Amino acid sequence: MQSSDEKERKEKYKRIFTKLGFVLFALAAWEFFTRLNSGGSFLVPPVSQMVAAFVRSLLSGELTEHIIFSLYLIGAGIGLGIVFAFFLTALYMISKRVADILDIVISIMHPLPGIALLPIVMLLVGLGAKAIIVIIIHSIIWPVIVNSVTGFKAVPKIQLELGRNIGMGEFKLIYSVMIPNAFPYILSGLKIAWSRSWRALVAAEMVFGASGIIGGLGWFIYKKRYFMEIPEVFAGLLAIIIIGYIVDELVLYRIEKNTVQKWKMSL
Amino acid sequence: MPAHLIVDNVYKNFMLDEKEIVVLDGLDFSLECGDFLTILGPSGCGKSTLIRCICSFESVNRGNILLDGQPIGKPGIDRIMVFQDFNQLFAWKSVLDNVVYPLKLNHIGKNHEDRVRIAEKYLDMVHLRDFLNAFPNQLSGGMRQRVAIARALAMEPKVLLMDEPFGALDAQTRTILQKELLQIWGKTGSTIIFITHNIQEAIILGNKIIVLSQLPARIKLLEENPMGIPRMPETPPFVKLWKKLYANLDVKRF
Amino acid sequence: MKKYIAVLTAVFLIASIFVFAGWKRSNKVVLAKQFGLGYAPIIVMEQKGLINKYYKDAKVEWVQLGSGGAIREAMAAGQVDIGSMGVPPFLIAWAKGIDFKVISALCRMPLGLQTYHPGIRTLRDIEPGMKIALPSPGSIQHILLSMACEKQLGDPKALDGQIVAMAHPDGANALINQVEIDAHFTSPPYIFMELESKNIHQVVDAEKDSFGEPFTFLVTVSTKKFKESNPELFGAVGKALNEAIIWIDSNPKDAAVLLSKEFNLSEETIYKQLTWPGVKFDKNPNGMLKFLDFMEKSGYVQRTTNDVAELLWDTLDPVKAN
Repeated sequence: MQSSDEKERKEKYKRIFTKLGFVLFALAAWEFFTRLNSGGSFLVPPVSQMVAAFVRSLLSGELTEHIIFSLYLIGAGIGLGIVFAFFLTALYMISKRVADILDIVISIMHPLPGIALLPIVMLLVGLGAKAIIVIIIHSIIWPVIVNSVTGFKAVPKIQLELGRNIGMGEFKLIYSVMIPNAFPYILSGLKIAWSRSWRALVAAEMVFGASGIIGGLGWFIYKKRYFMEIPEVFAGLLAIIIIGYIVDELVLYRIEKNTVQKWKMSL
Repeated sequence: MPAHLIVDNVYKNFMLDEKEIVVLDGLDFSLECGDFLTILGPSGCGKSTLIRCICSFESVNRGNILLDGQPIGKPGIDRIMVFQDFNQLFAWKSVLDNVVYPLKLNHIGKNHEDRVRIAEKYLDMVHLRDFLNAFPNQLSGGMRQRVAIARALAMEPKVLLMDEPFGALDAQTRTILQKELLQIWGKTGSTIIFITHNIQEAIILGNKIIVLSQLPARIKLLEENPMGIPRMPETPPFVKLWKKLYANLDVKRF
Repeated sequence: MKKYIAVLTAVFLIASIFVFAGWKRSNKVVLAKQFGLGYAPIIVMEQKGLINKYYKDAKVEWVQLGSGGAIREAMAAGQVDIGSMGVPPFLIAWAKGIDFKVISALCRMPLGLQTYHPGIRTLRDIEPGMKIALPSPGSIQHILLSMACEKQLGDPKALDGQIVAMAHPDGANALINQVEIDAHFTSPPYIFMELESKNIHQVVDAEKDSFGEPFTFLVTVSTKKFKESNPELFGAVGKALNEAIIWIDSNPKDAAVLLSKEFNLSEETIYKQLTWPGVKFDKNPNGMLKFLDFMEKSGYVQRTTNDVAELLWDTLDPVKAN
């Protein structure tokens, strides 16, 4: 007779096994078919070549320095973006006039992909790391503001009255009651912001070139493409996937598990 | 010696679509320390407004509310409200933390261990000893109300106000919680104001009972409950009181 | 048993259709349509229907792709038969083992690096952080810049960290308005626009400072697959291109009339560009081996050869090429 804990664990392993199995099967099929069809495989190299190129360029430092540059850009962009977003969110909550103006700004800016803003950004800030960071900030602030405002507006009035009743001042109410209540929404906004900004970063790097001395992952892929080093192009894509996976699964998912899921505060 | 809580000629009105609506129309009563007051009245008559005024969530237009001789100020821990809503705990804190946190906020207790001890004592009183590390969203509605009660009591407020806290619970849970509340009242001697629309509940719990009229709310009746605890619903004095209260309760006629 | 036979028959029929379709000689040729002064022979070939002149039943299909890189990839995938590109991009693909070679050179043209900074007279004056725009890594502009870097700074890759990939019109715009970039390595007609602009002067002249002698700018390339699938059609394309090149070279006025419609510019402007000093339409490629040697020594490619015939199809005479 299995306990429910044991059953849960077995189920979890089955699912990991299925996912892993599928990935390995797909990779094996890819390898098999590309080796079979030696004619067209220049543009789609076998997995083994791609992995070899990945390891090679990682160890030689070339891929590594581009990755670090990209991470630096996205770190700076996300950091600044979050600060601006919370600042604007606070203004939104305080002043009805600001809220009205921001509503219009958001409805215009939110749907625009960062790349669409390229020409304007280039004119204002010039080419270079600054411009890419601006585009990252744009990709982040709108979803974060929208989701945070929704979250704050959804805070039940009773939570605030309760806070005052137990002696909280206005500031304490904001960070000890409003923010935790709005947290599921804020986290949702951050997840969207991450995926939008990571994509915008790679796309912008392809356009902006060696902005700075090195350039980021996008530029690595762009260069390799023009020198027809296709396994390296795939190595760059692999790096993008891995980084995206790490942040999604190891960071964001972890946060979600230990907060929203633990407290059972799903939206 | 001045009474513990004095509600002195309190008027309150709201503006609705440019019309002035009087909600509380000259309410006047006082309570001694340790009184358990139940307030009855038809739906929408302003019962909630009255206790929200006592808690300072709303202001009064005329009149005074005095606690131990002093006019009440901002909302504070001297008058703690237990709401009707199930959403009145901090979902991101465990049951224990929900009770400990307000103590920490108000520097009650010498240190953390002391506060935990206090919290556990009151959580014990509401029979939630086994759920200290659970999170509110894992609990039933009735259990959450008990946590709210424990939290309120742990702060040892001068007045504990409860706005139909058992309204959304089933009859069985309600009976159990009524018994628990009376036990706690007996142990702590707190002053309690309890709103209900259920006449039986009002009699079982209150040693003083107020019946409010329909809007604008006035005191129709202020009764001292002659019975001692426990108050059994089938007994003649209970039935007599029940009928009297019923007669004074404004029922909406259609 | 019956089902088994039915399936086998169906498979056999389907397979034979494919085999038969492949067998039947296709009269189709897919060419990349490209805009720019250097591609004038391609445009002329299209507008005058020259391929059909040399091969009556030719089904000529034109495709437009976003970039030279895309054209190369489409050719590597066998989707495009004939495409044109700068010599270095061709060499990069050839070095990677893509099965194509030059069917004809197109032109020689003046290329160069321009700037609006009065203080920049040689590459040594370029400061770190300054941005140099060119179409893409591995483009002829990039390689010519590297050649000049080797001559003037001792290291071909000295400025690789300062390049920004920008399409010609965007780069010219930015340079003329003195925004975003500090210098632009470009080709006609943009180089003409820049040199005619008030505050802009040239830092590097490709022929003088990079290459040292005249060199071919653009070549037209054909896949091996196309040549082998229909050698006559392949030959016809070669002849058509040749006629177009000779016609432009000898009749610039008429060429300007034809091209002005395609390029949306006035005939005078195009005539001026066609007759600019240094512009020459010629089917014989020059400088390919020198490019290849430089790129291999600098590490831009990993394969080289001394035999120019390895880069050419037999439509060209290797004696006249280098």
